[in-house]
Amino acid sequence: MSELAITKESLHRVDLITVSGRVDSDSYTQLEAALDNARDHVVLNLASVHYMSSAGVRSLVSKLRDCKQAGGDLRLSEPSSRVMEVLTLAGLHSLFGTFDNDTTAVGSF
Amino acid sequence: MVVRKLLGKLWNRLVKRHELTVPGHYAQVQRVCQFVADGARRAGFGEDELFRIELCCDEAATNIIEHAYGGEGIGSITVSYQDKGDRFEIVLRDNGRSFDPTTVPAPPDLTTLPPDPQALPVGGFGLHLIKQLMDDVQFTFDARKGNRLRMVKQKP
Repeated sequence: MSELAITKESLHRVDLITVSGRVDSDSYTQLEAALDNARDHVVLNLASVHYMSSAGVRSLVSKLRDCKQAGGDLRLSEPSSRVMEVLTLAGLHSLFGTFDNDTTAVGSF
Repeated sequence: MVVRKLLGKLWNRLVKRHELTVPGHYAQVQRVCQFVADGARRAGFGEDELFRIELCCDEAATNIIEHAYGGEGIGSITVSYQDKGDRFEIVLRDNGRSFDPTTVPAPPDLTTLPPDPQALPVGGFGLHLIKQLMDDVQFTFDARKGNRLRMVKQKP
Protein backbone atom coordinates (compact mmCIF):
# COMPACT_ATOMS: atom_id res chain seq x y z
CA MET A 1 0.00 0.00 0.00
CA SER A 2 1.33 3.43 -0.94
CA GLU A 3 2.00 5.62 2.05
CA LEU A 4 -0.53 8.44 2.36
CA ALA A 5 -1.75 10.44 5.36
CA ILE A 6 -4.82 12.67 5.29
CA THR A 7 -6.18 14.95 8.01
CA LYS A 8 -9.33 17.06 7.86
CA GLU A 9 -10.22 20.11 9.87
CA SER A 10 -13.72 21.57 9.59
CA LEU A 11 -13.50 25.35 9.93
CA HIS A 12 -16.45 27.76 9.94
CA ARG A 13 -17.04 27.84 6.21
CA VAL A 14 -14.24 25.74 4.81
CA ASP A 15 -12.92 22.21 5.13
CA LEU A 16 -9.13 22.17 5.35
CA ILE A 17 -7.67 18.88 4.19
CA THR A 18 -3.96 18.20 4.55
CA VAL A 19 -2.41 15.42 2.52
CA SER A 20 1.08 14.01 2.76
CA GLY A 21 2.84 11.17 0.99
CA ARG A 22 2.26 9.48 -2.32
CA VAL A 23 -0.99 9.80 -4.27
CA ASP A 24 -1.14 7.12 -6.97
CA SER A 25 -3.51 4.55 -8.44
CA ASP A 26 -3.22 2.51 -5.27
CA SER A 27 -3.83 5.27 -2.73
CA TYR A 28 -5.99 7.84 -4.52
CA THR A 29 -9.18 6.23 -3.17
CA GLN A 30 -8.27 7.58 0.28
CA LEU A 31 -7.98 11.09 -1.12
CA GLU A 32 -11.19 10.62 -3.08
CA ALA A 33 -13.04 9.48 0.06
CA ALA A 34 -11.77 12.49 2.02
CA LEU A 35 -12.85 14.86 -0.74
CA ASP A 36 -16.23 13.16 -1.13
CA ASN A 37 -16.87 13.70 2.56
CA ALA A 38 -15.85 17.35 2.46
CA ARG A 39 -18.16 20.32 1.96
CA ASP A 40 -18.17 22.48 -1.17
CA HIS A 41 -15.60 24.99 0.09
CA VAL A 42 -12.34 23.12 0.36
CA VAL A 43 -8.72 24.01 0.90
CA LEU A 44 -6.34 21.20 0.12
CA ASN A 45 -2.84 21.49 1.52
CA LEU A 46 -0.47 19.53 -0.71
CA ALA A 47 2.87 20.76 0.64
CA SER A 48 3.99 17.27 1.63
CA VAL A 49 2.76 15.36 -1.38
CA HIS A 50 6.01 14.17 -2.93
CA TYR A 51 4.33 12.22 -5.72
CA MET A 52 1.04 12.49 -7.55
CA SER A 53 -0.06 10.55 -10.62
CA SER A 54 -3.05 11.20 -12.86
CA ALA A 55 -5.17 9.15 -10.45
CA GLY A 56 -4.74 11.94 -7.92
CA VAL A 57 -5.32 14.58 -10.58
CA ARG A 58 -8.59 12.87 -11.44
CA SER A 59 -9.72 13.10 -7.81
CA LEU A 60 -8.92 16.81 -7.69
CA VAL A 61 -10.75 17.56 -10.94
CA SER A 62 -13.75 15.51 -9.88
CA LYS A 63 -14.06 17.41 -6.58
CA LEU A 64 -13.43 20.76 -8.29
CA ARG A 65 -16.26 19.95 -10.66
CA ASP A 66 -18.65 19.12 -7.81
CA CYS A 67 -17.63 22.19 -5.81
CA LYS A 68 -18.12 24.52 -8.78
CA GLN A 69 -21.45 22.93 -9.55
CA ALA A 70 -22.57 23.68 -6.00
CA GLY A 71 -21.25 27.24 -6.08
CA GLY A 72 -18.12 26.45 -4.08
CA ASP A 73 -14.49 25.85 -4.94
CA LEU A 74 -11.49 23.64 -4.31
CA ARG A 75 -8.35 25.67 -3.68
CA LEU A 76 -4.81 24.47 -3.21
CA SER A 77 -2.48 25.53 -0.43
CA GLU A 78 1.31 25.18 -0.81
CA PRO A 79 1.15 22.61 -3.61
CA SER A 80 4.54 20.89 -3.85
CA SER A 81 6.64 21.33 -6.96
CA ARG A 82 5.82 17.74 -8.01
CA VAL A 83 2.08 18.41 -7.75
CA MET A 84 2.41 21.64 -9.71
CA GLU A 85 4.47 19.91 -12.40
CA VAL A 86 1.84 17.21 -12.89
CA LEU A 87 -1.02 19.72 -12.94
CA THR A 88 0.88 21.86 -15.44
CA LEU A 89 1.66 18.89 -17.68
CA ALA A 90 -2.00 17.90 -17.57
CA GLY A 91 -2.88 21.48 -18.55
CA LEU A 92 -4.94 21.97 -15.39
CA HIS A 93 -2.84 24.31 -13.25
CA SER A 94 -4.83 27.41 -14.12
CA LEU A 95 -8.11 25.80 -13.05
CA PHE A 96 -7.09 25.72 -9.40
CA GLY A 97 -6.62 28.71 -7.17
CA THR A 98 -3.26 28.23 -5.45
CA PHE A 99 -2.07 29.94 -2.27
CA ASP A 100 1.20 30.18 -0.34
CA ASN A 101 -0.29 29.05 2.97
CA ASP A 102 -3.45 27.78 4.63
CA THR A 103 -4.32 31.14 6.15
CA THR A 104 -4.54 32.98 2.83
CA ALA A 105 -6.22 29.99 1.16
CA VAL A 106 -8.92 29.76 3.83
CA GLY A 107 -9.24 33.54 3.92
CA SER A 108 -9.82 33.66 0.17
CA PHE A 109 -13.31 32.18 0.58
CA MET B 1 8.28 -23.53 -21.89
CA VAL B 2 11.14 -23.89 -19.37
CA VAL B 3 13.73 -23.81 -22.14
CA ARG B 4 12.14 -20.70 -23.65
CA LYS B 5 12.24 -18.98 -20.23
CA LEU B 6 15.88 -19.90 -19.74
CA LEU B 7 16.79 -18.68 -23.21
CA GLY B 8 14.89 -15.47 -22.51
CA LYS B 9 16.83 -14.89 -19.29
CA LEU B 10 20.12 -15.59 -21.07
CA TRP B 11 19.23 -13.18 -23.86
CA ASN B 12 18.25 -10.49 -21.35
CA ARG B 13 21.62 -10.88 -19.66
CA LEU B 14 23.43 -10.67 -22.99
CA VAL B 15 21.68 -7.43 -23.99
CA LYS B 16 21.73 -6.12 -20.39
CA ARG B 17 17.97 -5.99 -20.22
CA HIS B 18 16.47 -6.03 -16.73
CA GLU B 19 13.01 -7.51 -16.40
CA LEU B 20 10.33 -7.82 -13.74
CA THR B 21 6.90 -9.44 -13.84
CA VAL B 22 4.24 -8.51 -11.31
CA PRO B 23 0.56 -9.39 -10.87
CA GLY B 24 -1.80 -6.78 -12.30
CA HIS B 25 -2.75 -5.11 -9.04
CA TYR B 26 -2.61 -1.40 -8.25
CA ALA B 27 -0.57 -2.24 -5.16
CA GLN B 28 2.16 -3.54 -7.51
CA VAL B 29 2.43 -0.38 -9.61
CA GLN B 30 4.83 1.30 -7.21
CA ARG B 31 7.07 -1.77 -7.42
CA VAL B 32 7.17 -1.40 -11.21
CA CYS B 33 8.04 2.29 -10.83
CA GLN B 34 10.75 1.61 -8.27
CA PHE B 35 12.30 -1.13 -10.38
CA VAL B 36 12.63 1.14 -13.41
CA ALA B 37 13.64 4.19 -11.36
CA ASP B 38 16.51 2.23 -9.79
CA GLY B 39 17.77 1.36 -13.25
CA ALA B 40 17.33 4.91 -14.50
CA ARG B 41 19.29 6.23 -11.51
CA ARG B 42 22.16 3.89 -12.37
CA ALA B 43 21.90 5.12 -15.97
CA GLY B 44 22.63 8.66 -14.77
CA PHE B 45 19.24 10.39 -14.55
CA GLY B 46 18.77 13.06 -11.88
CA GLU B 47 15.93 13.32 -9.37
CA ASP B 48 13.62 15.43 -11.57
CA GLU B 49 13.92 13.04 -14.51
CA LEU B 50 13.56 10.03 -12.23
CA PHE B 51 10.25 11.44 -11.02
CA ARG B 52 9.09 11.83 -14.63
CA ILE B 53 10.19 8.32 -15.61
CA GLU B 54 8.48 6.90 -12.53
CA LEU B 55 5.32 8.82 -13.38
CA CYS B 56 5.25 7.42 -16.94
CA CYS B 57 5.70 3.85 -15.70
CA ASP B 58 2.93 4.43 -13.15
CA GLU B 59 0.55 5.74 -15.81
CA ALA B 60 1.40 2.93 -18.24
CA ALA B 61 1.00 0.16 -15.65
CA THR B 62 -2.22 1.69 -14.33
CA ASN B 63 -3.62 1.82 -17.85
CA ILE B 64 -2.82 -1.84 -18.36
CA ILE B 65 -4.81 -2.81 -15.27
CA GLU B 66 -7.64 -0.38 -15.98
CA HIS B 67 -8.03 -0.69 -19.76
CA ALA B 68 -6.19 -3.75 -21.10
CA TYR B 69 -7.28 -6.09 -18.30
CA GLY B 70 -10.36 -4.14 -17.27
CA GLY B 71 -9.63 -4.64 -13.58
CA GLU B 72 -7.26 -6.01 -10.98
CA GLY B 73 -6.11 -9.61 -10.72
CA ILE B 74 -6.81 -10.53 -14.33
CA GLY B 75 -3.26 -10.84 -15.67
CA SER B 76 0.34 -9.88 -15.15
CA ILE B 77 2.51 -6.96 -16.20
CA THR B 78 6.06 -7.43 -17.41
CA VAL B 79 8.32 -4.41 -17.38
CA SER B 80 11.85 -4.26 -18.69
CA TYR B 81 14.43 -1.56 -19.13
CA GLN B 82 17.66 -1.25 -21.04
CA ASP B 83 20.41 1.34 -20.90
CA LYS B 84 21.22 1.84 -24.57
CA GLY B 85 24.02 4.34 -24.17
CA ASP B 86 22.45 7.54 -25.40
CA ARG B 87 18.93 6.54 -24.36
CA PHE B 88 16.99 4.59 -21.76
CA GLU B 89 14.35 2.23 -23.07
CA ILE B 90 11.39 0.94 -21.06
CA VAL B 91 9.00 -1.75 -22.31
CA LEU B 92 5.75 -2.80 -20.65
CA ARG B 93 3.96 -5.91 -21.81
CA ASP B 94 0.62 -7.46 -20.95
CA ASN B 95 -1.83 -10.00 -22.31
CA GLY B 96 -4.98 -7.96 -22.02
CA ARG B 97 -7.22 -6.41 -24.67
CA SER B 98 -5.46 -4.50 -27.41
CA PHE B 99 -5.20 -0.97 -26.10
CA ASP B 100 -3.18 1.58 -28.02
CA PRO B 101 -2.53 4.52 -25.72
CA THR B 102 -0.83 6.49 -28.48
CA THR B 103 -4.18 6.92 -30.27
CA VAL B 104 -5.97 8.46 -27.29
CA PRO B 105 -6.49 12.17 -27.98
CA ALA B 106 -5.09 14.78 -25.61
CA PRO B 107 -7.54 16.30 -23.16
CA PRO B 108 -9.14 19.54 -24.37
CA ASP B 109 -7.57 22.91 -23.60
CA LEU B 110 -8.37 23.53 -19.96
CA THR B 111 -6.69 26.87 -19.33
CA THR B 112 -10.06 28.23 -18.25
CA LEU B 113 -12.94 26.52 -16.53
CA PRO B 114 -15.67 25.54 -18.98
CA PRO B 115 -18.99 27.38 -18.36
CA ASP B 116 -20.51 24.07 -17.31
CA PRO B 117 -18.24 22.50 -14.67
CA GLN B 118 -19.62 19.09 -15.57
CA ALA B 119 -17.92 19.48 -18.95
CA LEU B 120 -14.55 19.11 -17.21
CA PRO B 121 -13.04 15.79 -18.24
CA VAL B 122 -11.87 13.65 -15.34
CA GLY B 123 -9.79 11.17 -17.32
CA GLY B 124 -7.25 10.80 -20.10
CA PHE B 125 -4.54 12.75 -18.30
CA GLY B 126 -2.17 9.82 -17.79
CA LEU B 127 -1.53 9.17 -21.46
CA HIS B 128 -1.14 12.86 -22.06
CA LEU B 129 1.61 12.91 -19.40
CA ILE B 130 3.43 9.96 -20.98
CA LYS B 131 3.40 11.55 -24.44
CA GLN B 132 4.76 14.80 -23.07
CA LEU B 133 7.45 13.33 -20.85
CA MET B 134 8.88 10.61 -23.07
CA ASP B 135 10.95 11.26 -26.19
CA ASP B 136 9.39 8.37 -28.06
CA VAL B 137 6.31 6.23 -27.37
CA GLN B 138 5.34 3.25 -29.49
CA PHE B 139 2.64 0.66 -29.11
CA THR B 140 2.39 -2.72 -30.83
CA PHE B 141 -0.08 -5.54 -30.47
CA ASP B 142 0.61 -9.16 -31.32
CA ALA B 143 -2.06 -11.83 -31.06
CA ARG B 144 0.39 -14.18 -29.33
CA LYS B 145 2.67 -11.79 -27.45
CA GLY B 146 0.00 -9.28 -26.42
CA ASN B 147 0.38 -5.53 -25.92
CA ARG B 148 3.81 -3.94 -25.95
CA LEU B 149 4.38 -0.32 -24.99
CA ARG B 150 7.87 1.02 -25.63
CA MET B 151 8.89 4.32 -24.04
CA VAL B 152 12.23 5.96 -24.70
CA LYS B 153 13.92 8.71 -22.72
CA GLN B 154 17.09 10.34 -24.01
CA LYS B 155 19.86 10.28 -21.43
CA PRO B 156 21.16 13.53 -19.96
